[in-house]
Amino acid sequence: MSAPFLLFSSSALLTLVTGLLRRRLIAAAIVSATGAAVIALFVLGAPIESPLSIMGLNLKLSATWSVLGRSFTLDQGARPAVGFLYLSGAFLFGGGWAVNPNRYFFPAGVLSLALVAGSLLIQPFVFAAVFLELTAMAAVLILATVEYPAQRGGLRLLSLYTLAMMAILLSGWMLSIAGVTTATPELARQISLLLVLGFAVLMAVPPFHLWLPAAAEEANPYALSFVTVILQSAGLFFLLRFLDTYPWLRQTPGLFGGLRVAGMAMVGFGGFAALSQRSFSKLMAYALVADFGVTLLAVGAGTPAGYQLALGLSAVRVIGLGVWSLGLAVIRGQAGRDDQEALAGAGYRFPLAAAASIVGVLSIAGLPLTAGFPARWALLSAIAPNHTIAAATVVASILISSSGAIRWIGVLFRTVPFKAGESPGRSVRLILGSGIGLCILFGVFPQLLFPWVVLAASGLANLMN
Amino acid sequence: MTLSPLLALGSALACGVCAGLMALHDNRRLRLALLAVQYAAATALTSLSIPIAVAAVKLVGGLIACSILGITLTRLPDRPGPRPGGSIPSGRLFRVTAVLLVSVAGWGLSRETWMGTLSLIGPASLGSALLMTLGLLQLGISDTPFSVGLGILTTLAGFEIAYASVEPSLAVLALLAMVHIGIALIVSYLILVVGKAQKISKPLP
Repeated sequence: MSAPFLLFSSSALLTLVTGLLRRRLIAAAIVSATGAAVIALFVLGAPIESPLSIMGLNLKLSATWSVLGRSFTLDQGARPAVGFLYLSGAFLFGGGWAVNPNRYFFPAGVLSLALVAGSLLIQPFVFAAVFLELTAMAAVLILATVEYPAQRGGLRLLSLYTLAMMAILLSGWMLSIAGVTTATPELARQISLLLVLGFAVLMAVPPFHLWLPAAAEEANPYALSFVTVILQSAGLFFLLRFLDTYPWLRQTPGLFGGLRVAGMAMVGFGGFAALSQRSFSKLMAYALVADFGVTLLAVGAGTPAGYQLALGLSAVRVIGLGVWSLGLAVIRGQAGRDDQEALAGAGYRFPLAAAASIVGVLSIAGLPLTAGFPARWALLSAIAPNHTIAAATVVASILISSSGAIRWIGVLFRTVPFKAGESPGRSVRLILGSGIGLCILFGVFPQLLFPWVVLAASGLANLMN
Repeated sequence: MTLSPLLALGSALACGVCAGLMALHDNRRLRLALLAVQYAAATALTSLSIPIAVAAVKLVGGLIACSILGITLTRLPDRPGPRPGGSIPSGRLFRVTAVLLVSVAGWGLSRETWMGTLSLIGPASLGSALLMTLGLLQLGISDTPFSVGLGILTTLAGFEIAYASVEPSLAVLALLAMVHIGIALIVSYLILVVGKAQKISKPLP
């Protein structure tokens, strides 16, 4: 029996069960969160390629599953990344029922996790691009609903990911057949251009971020946060695997400098665009662009610490974004809209939801005492000696995004005449409170999270040496 | 089985004509029929690089995608609504000019050796370039799910003609066929969801 087969079949079963439970949100949330957590534990802890005995039955889980001449391999390099994705999914599924997401949220969410896992396991790994395209399709199912018909965002996402898939497949073929090395600079330049196009889409580098604000305007904020976390993490893992696998790519002149410039541009563009938004959801979209920019700055450092911090930023994004979108979705569900007029004074009507959205946005901004801060501080310390401008950009990202957040705190707690809103149920309040607690806990005790990040980065053997 | 040069050239031109007409016309059923013909022509061009029995996977995947979109169209009114006003120019003259210009660009592109490494046979290169460029044009000038879906499928069909010449494996063809079917499913879902949402937000008098 092979571990990837077990992984995919259990994910398929989970998709089926959550699909059947799609009209019972709480049951679907419990099943999907528990199932995703169990799969994550299996991926992280199962004894693969070693004999084991279960009730007298001798078994050996193989790491490879072959299908139609291609194989899926759950090796030491892929296990932490797949485990991280399923754990992120479990975290976000757990709170999903509280915001009344679309009925396909849980089944399509589990399906998207399996597809991203497929992208991390398939060999040769350039075919991961096809799986990412399939993940984008599942993401559209999560984003677009009758209540939130995110048509423009969904179509843009689909179009952009199709273009990225084509670029990466073509570059992958050129890499495997045309024999690119450091001795073939012209070919390496052509492939790098294709790869830049593909990864620019996956990392939402402007102007390929266009799906994000459109989706933020139309979709359920919590659904958007799930999609963003999954797609962005998949894109980052894919980028790091490319860097890990091809030494010539790491040695391409200007590559890391280019990544830093792209990161700085994203921080500037995303940060200032976030400042000017009149919708809280669109603020989330642009703050995320700035946050992705900081991640690119970490990768652009080109050091093992930088790669670890990029993964760390992805991990804390799951918490910050989850809490922000949970609070926002609860408020938006009650207020109907999320512009400044609709949300004025919402902090008095829905204090816990408002507090969650504020703590979440401050965490994404990287303010001290929130989950987003320690990774940014560590990044600052890592890159400041060699890349002063990049380090200044990290500081600027904290200041600009925090300014945007503070502006919205003013809106949420503006004194306006209001009627007390319908208070969320006890369980929703519990989830909101736990989210706020986690954001602060990981901000004060980052050492609780960092060992997981080191584990996730350990799969990238060439980058870590 | 090998395709005669004349038939290959005819298939390449059919790809261009179908993709061009799809960008020009508003009639959804006609555009869907054009998409099916385009898949047949693209399969013929793909068979220049790989055995026809393998290339048929592309045709099967494409026709399933057309069927999915066709079933969705039966649930919509016959006449499409007015083109949504916005920043995208939609005049007939503009579209004719754009299709002609982009076709010439596609023809020019097909005469180049792609990225210095892809060695495509003449008509396959022409068909692939026309589909990709006209598909991208369709993507650029559309904002409805059906039109954008056609644009994505057209661009992808063009890419696959080129990609089949370098990666002829059945697994990849099957995966890409799944992508076509998936896109058709998602586009159908969006058409139905958006239609339902519009009905709810604007009840008929």
